Amino acid sequence: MESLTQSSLPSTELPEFTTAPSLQEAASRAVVRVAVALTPEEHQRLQDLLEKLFHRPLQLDVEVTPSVIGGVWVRVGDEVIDGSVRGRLETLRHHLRTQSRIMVTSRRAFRGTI
Amino acid sequence: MNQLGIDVGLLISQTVNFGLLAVLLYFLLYKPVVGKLEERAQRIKKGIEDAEQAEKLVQDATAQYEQEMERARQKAHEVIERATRIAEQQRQEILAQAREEAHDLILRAQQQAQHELQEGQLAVQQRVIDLAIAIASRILQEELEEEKHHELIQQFLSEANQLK
Repeated sequence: MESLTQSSLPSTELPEFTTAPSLQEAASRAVVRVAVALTPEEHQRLQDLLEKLFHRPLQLDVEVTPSVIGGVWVRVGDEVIDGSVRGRLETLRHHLRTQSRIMVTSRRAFRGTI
Repeated sequence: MNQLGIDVGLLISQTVNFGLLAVLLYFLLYKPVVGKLEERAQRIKKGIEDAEQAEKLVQDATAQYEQEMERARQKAHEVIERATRIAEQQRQEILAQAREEAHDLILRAQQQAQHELQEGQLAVQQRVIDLAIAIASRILQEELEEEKHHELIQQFLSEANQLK
């Protein structure tokens, strides 16, 4: 599952609720972000899948937002499963930036030895 | 004697007179004059001796002066030579230090320039990466068709199903 990233949400990325839900409510809700509306079948499969993964009944809040570009982004409590194209592009961007910095640093270190 | 016309009495008196005159002249004229002459000769001799002594003193003083001057010249020469040597040594040290500092400065400037160049290259590379990702995002946002979106969702469901 290299393409999917599962992580705990940093404290700075707390959900943008208009009214803050209790911890219990937040734990029983799954925020799902997709680029296009889910078909009923996809919705059901996703719900089954998430309930199986988190071992509890969940209420899916599906948000259709073009910012995910494609794929699915899910948050349950402070757990995030990022299968969005946006997430993959961000991972790629981070990887490329890191590689770029490593290349410059190693080139500098190499020049320092000669 | 009378036959010869010589008056003995007169002769004796003349002789006595002459003797007395001679004695008198000896004591009154000859002796003081000779004394004065000897005294003058002594004074002249002493003057010559004094002059010789003074000349000797002058010669000694001159020699000593020359010797002192020579010593002073030698000492001054040594001092100048030492000062020149020290100055030369200091000049070499200052030059070496200045060269070293200049070398360090150049090296630091080169390193800084190199560092800035690399930072610039890195910034450009990262900007290019950001731009490429932004373009890719925009293209994907615009070009992904409905069908492809659902394929991606299906793919997510399949992959997430294998998560534990």
